Amino acid sequence: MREKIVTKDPGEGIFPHVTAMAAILIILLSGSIFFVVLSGAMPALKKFKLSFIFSTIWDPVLDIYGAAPAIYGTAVSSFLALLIAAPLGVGTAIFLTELAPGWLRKPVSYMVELLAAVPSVVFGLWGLLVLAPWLRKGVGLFLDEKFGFIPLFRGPFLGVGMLTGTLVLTIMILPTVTAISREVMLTVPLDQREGMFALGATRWEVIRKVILPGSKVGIVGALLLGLGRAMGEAMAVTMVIGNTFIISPSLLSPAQTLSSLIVSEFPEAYGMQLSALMLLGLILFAITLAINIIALIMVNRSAARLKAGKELVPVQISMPYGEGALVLVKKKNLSKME
Amino acid sequence: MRKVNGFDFQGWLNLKLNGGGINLKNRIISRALPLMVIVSLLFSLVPVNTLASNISIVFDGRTVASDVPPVIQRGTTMVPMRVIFEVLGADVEWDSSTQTITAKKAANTIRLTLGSRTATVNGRTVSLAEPANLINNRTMVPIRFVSEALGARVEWVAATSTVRIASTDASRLRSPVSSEIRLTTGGATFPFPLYSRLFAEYRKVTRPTVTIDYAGVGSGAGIRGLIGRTFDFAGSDAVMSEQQIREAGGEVLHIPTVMGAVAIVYNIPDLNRRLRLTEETLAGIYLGEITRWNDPRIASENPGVTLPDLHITVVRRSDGSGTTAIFTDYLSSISKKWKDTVGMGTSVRWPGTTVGGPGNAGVAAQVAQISGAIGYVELSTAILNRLNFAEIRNSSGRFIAPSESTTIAAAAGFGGNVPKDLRMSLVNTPGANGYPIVGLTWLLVRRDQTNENIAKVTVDFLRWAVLERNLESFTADLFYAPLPQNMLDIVRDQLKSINVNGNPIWK
Repeated sequence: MREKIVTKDPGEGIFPHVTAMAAILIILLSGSIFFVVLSGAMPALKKFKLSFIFSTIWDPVLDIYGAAPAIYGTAVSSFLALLIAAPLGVGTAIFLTELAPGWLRKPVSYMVELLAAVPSVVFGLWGLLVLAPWLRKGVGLFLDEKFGFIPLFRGPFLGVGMLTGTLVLTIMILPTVTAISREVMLTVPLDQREGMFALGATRWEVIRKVILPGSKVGIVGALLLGLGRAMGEAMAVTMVIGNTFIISPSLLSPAQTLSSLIVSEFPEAYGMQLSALMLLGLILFAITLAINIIALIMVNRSAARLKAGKELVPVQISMPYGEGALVLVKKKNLSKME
Repeated sequence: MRKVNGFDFQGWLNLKLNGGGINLKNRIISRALPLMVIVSLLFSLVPVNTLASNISIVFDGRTVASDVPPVIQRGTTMVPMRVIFEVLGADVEWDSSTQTITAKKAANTIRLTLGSRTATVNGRTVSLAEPANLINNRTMVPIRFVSEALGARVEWVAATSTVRIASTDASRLRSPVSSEIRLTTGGATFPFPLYSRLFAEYRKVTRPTVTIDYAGVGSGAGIRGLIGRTFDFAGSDAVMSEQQIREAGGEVLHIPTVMGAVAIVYNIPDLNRRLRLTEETLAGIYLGEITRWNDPRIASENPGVTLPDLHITVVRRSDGSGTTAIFTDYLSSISKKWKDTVGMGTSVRWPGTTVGGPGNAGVAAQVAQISGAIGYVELSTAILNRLNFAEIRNSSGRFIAPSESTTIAAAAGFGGNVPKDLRMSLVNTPGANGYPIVGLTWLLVRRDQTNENIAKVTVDFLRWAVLERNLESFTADLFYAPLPQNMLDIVRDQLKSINVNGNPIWK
């Protein structure tokens, strides 16, 4: 009887193996996805080689393919979306962690997270049926009429195009940027804030000197994750970007992105066209993978910095002939200052 | 009492079949039988009283086309065996040594012998008023007997000389295979709403149940699935190329299901009547050569219409699509410049500045929003979105608007020149009243099958859907046109060529 009590739960032995298998399965899965995309892309890679990236022709009838306008469209729409989403998202995160009254924080956070749960096709429909007509009659018309002489705003604006695509992407990556920035800001230790306030710092000073520096790397990571999402987004962008395979300096011109070209043509594609689409996928895969890896490294470094005591601590220094100054010192260096 | 040419119609056909069993009105029969024998003996002495007729046959509300008209023989309406069994969806076997016809439909089997007044229904002998026989070298069978024996209801409408046959739940049932089976198919997205309803209905009428799954993944993916044998058959808006058929490693049959028109929709404010476009103007607009609505080339064909000085925004599909294939096929057929510089395909390199919308709905939304826009969509999308669509000049020089009837007229323009493999384009056909931008959608089936049960289901489904025209009851809101008879005749030949190891499935 006694031995039975001592006997281990069979789960003890199995559990680590099960989890290890799950982990290995995920690695195998991503590996095989990469392999399938790569092998599918091989014919196009062999035929077009490096010129694929620079060519601006996409002709399924003659089977000649290039990716430059799609790469350009992906890069421009994503970076512009990030440019708008960064101040909005980080601002919202600061408001939620530092400024908002307690009763408001939870509901607004939920709303932001809810935005992330809206299916992308809903954003696309909204973009096509609400945003596009509104932009065409309002902002787009105004920009074209007043600033049409600048290539950036040259019309005619049809409602769909780079501008509309960018704005829809902005809304879509906002929850990513906001939620992660908020999480990172919450990791800034409470004693630092309280220390700053105790030393007489204003809210503005606390945000500027403690919160933002302390979560800088994490925020950059959040922005990069948002960028990754913007680049990979297909359905919503397809509906509003105009899907025209050109490189135009104008924001009002229709454009094309890697993911929207793939999602548009994949169902009917065959032969070399299919292979070229796979190659687009491979390019997108490489770009988003690189961005995600950079983002993860940065987020991790921010966490590691906290552990290593690299975060900054406010210290009141007494000056021999003055009133003294408030400075920030890396925590691990505190001992040296004594 | 229903009377046909003075004869007591019901008196000759007093067979009533309820469900599978036969409820003979014994007393009447026992009295009438000697009389019938005498009468038939009398008739056999005089020349056969055969009347060609203008009788029409209506099955479930649709007129049944028959190459040989029904005849009335001694008061019994006789129809060609092939026509009636095809309508009822029965399998027929002909034994030439005993001159016996055997027709099977789900649980019912009937056996008729040429010239014999007795027949069997599910093994039980019944007597016939008029035997099956050869008239003008065609095997003719009594329509009421065979229809009722296979579970349908028959009604004679004297006023219009119409035999109305209505299927019943029992007569709709079919049993292509002896155990439940599931087929995996997929392809073209445009006919997806039609196919999904069709497969659901087919599932209801099969015992044991046949489930056909259809993935709306696009024509290209459908063809890939057929070649890779992941799909048992595939849907496609475009025909397979020679190269693709070679890759499939065996003959692939193209079975057309429906045909539809592509409408040219436009958004011109305050236009007082329907726009007319010649083929040159339409090509000019899509080539980017005509850029304003008040261009003299458009105005000259539209006298009395005030066209605005408005930029033409060209809208096209952003996704690869069969609609694009039909439209670019049309532009290639009427414009040499288009053929040389752009060509035809499910997606092409569009000249000039254009806007791409995803799907028919995406193009419709863009055209509806942008003042001065022109686009191409399936007719149903144009009508459902209340968009204006243009009359296009056809090969006979007439301006024709898209509709079901002008679509049929376009197909009729082919006349007897329908290619035997049905891999045909319906754009710009010679029909005088035909709309010029018309296309077909196909189901692609391997001729040489490997699995007998899958082959049986495939053949039975296509017979039921296409030859027995069951799909037509699902096309009302899609504005598709039914296939003309000459195409159906070829479809029948194609279905009969489907085989497993050289043994045809449909004998």
